[in-house]
Amino acid sequence: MRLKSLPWVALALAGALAWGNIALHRGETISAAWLVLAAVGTYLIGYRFYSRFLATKVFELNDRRATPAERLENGRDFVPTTKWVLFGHHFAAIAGAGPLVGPVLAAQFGYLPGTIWIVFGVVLAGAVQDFIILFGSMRRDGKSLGQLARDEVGPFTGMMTMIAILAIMIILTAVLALVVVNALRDSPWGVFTIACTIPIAILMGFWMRVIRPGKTIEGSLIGVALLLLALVAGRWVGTSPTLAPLFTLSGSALAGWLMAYAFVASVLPVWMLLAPRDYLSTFMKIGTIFLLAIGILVVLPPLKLPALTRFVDGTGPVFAGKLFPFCFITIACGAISGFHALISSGTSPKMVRRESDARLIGYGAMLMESFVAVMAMCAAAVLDPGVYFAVNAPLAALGGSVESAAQVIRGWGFTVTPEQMQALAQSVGEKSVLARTGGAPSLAIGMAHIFSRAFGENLTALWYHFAILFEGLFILTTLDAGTRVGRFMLQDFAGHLWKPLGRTSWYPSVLLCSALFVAAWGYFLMQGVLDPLGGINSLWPLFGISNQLLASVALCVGTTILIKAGKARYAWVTLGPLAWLLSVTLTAGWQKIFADDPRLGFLSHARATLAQVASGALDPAKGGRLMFNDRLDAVVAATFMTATVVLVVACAREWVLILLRGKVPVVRETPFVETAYAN
Amino acid sequence: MSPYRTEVGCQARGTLAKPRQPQHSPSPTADLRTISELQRPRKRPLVGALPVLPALLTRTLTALRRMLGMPDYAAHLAHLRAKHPDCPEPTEREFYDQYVRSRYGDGTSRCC
Repeated sequence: MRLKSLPWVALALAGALAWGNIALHRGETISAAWLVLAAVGTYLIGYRFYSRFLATKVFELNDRRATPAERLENGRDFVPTTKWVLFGHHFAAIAGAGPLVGPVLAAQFGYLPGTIWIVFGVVLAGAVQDFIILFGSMRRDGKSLGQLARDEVGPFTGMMTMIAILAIMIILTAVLALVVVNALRDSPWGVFTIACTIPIAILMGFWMRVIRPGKTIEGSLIGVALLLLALVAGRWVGTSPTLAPLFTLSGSALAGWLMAYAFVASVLPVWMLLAPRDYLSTFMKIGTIFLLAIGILVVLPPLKLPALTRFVDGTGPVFAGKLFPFCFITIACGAISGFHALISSGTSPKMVRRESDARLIGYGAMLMESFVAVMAMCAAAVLDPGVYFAVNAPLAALGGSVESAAQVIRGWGFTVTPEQMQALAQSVGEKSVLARTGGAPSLAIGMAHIFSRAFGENLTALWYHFAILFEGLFILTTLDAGTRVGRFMLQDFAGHLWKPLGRTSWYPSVLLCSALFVAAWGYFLMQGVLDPLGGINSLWPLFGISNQLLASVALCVGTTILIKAGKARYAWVTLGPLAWLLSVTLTAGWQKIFADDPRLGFLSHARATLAQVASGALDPAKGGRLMFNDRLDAVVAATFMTATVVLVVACAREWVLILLRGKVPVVRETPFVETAYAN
Repeated sequence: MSPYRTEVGCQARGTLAKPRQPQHSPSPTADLRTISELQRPRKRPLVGALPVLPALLTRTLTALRRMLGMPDYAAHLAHLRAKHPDCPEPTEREFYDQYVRSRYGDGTSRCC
């Protein structure tokens, strides 16, 4: 054995030891250190061996080849960027709300299943997807996923991919908005701070364009300072008798405001609101993730949540469904996320300086994102289990009050007292933290605990609202950006029907398509807000299914690229994850539509509602609306499943034609050009 | 046939001007450029406000800007002066406008 392998062997042993400890601890609480060590050890092993295998044997990255950043350099979007700077850029682009919310929800099963999926899923599936799409896009001058699908497979696949992306954007935007609504409901401090981000961003926008053009870092620092000021001022607003009622909003009021905000923000010019928001939220995102990592490493808190809870059997209050397949649907962005394929084929392929850098950027950045998910899991698992369920279960499941919640939770096998909940609410500066579903509040509580133990005991309320601010800030940015993306796609489609609608700068078209898109996701948002089961219950699985659908498409496109390049013998690197994803997504979709449990299956929930209306227990108008929503959700899930199957079949047809029928594959990579850089 | 794509003239304006003559393929040893040359501002101050910043700080700020997706006016000017000397140079505000519009205008969203 070579001496060079020694550190890796030691690392493998350390990681295995950590996993072993987690597996064998038999009920005593273990420290987060073991989770972190196991995760980091696995990532490093995966990076060193699997990604190197992919880079050298499967993709054959060639440093002598000029990348599009070099050939098409224009000092704007095609800019050769050094490895680590681009790593930061790509990571900042893919990091978002997903790895933070998903693991917190999946903690309902205990911390172990989610963590195993996060760590092994990313090494074998998620990072592979990001890497292959980045590679494929880089070899084709930075084409987007839709263009890749169209060029490599066929125009039908390309078109269906675009439609799938549009549908996913609608569900994604609705779900993220719902997370914000649930976090800010009846919380004047939170609403005030998030509301302040809008004028702060506009001020930054004018600063960076008009007052001091181009001084982006300066503007961002000013923005961050003002934001922290708003955070501190929020406490005063929250307790002020005149201002607090102004900022105390119900769920539907908040939803209305979010829709109005997204509409207005998406029609304003980008420099005024979106670009400064983006810089601000990226700054805060990177800073907070960094702080959280330091906090966890300094405190190494014990994990109070058990490794496995009884809810693996599907009776869980946070969302319905058994461990398989719903653990793998709920955690998307930490393990594998189709959305990353859109971003991996966005700005980053145009900035890769040398082909071998793609390994760090495509594979490595996704590992980092997965680490964020592990940290989110730790932050959720440091909560008392009773507290975790009191915060994340919907009000209806808890019986409606703190006292009934204590009883229900005792029935589930965990203890929590009303005094405990009251004290917790006071310590974070809220009136109540009961049934604040959506993952963000419980994550914020966990983060606040970790931060207060690491950085300062008396600031728990500030840390809590800092965490809420951080999530709300970039979810709002995503609402803006997502509505814009949706509008462009709608304008693109509408342009085929009537030419003037396709003109992206024609204001009537802009307003119409923005309004249409906001109405589409707004409908699902309202449905979630008014849902007695708690909107996350029905919408998050839909989002997970749609996201994994896009991941399946990306893996199919990746397989096609491999087969066309003559690497069919390595196609298993994408086919394996694809097979897993398909089994998970299709099972989940099937269960969501047809399961007998009314909490799980949309159609059986509609039937149960019908029975309630017939027996007079439910008002017919409300019942009718609930049944319509259930059927609509079932149709959406069925559409996603059908689209997945159609797309996979379309790609598989291509593979069969090439491999068995002797169709000559047309490789659409841009021709080899020798690099001028000294490597 | 030039190995490098024929660039459309005067990208600063973003207009489709008459295509320029294809460049001769550079010999492997000529025109060796490294990233630091692109990032390091030339002697003539491009970033008007702070010409006396030490090179390290400027490099750090440039790296930070690239990481956060902020526009890099200095790099764009350096590129224009090297590759398109006869193109008009955009002002900082014009460049900022073009940059954010091309970055966010075609809709690349950030989500998860």
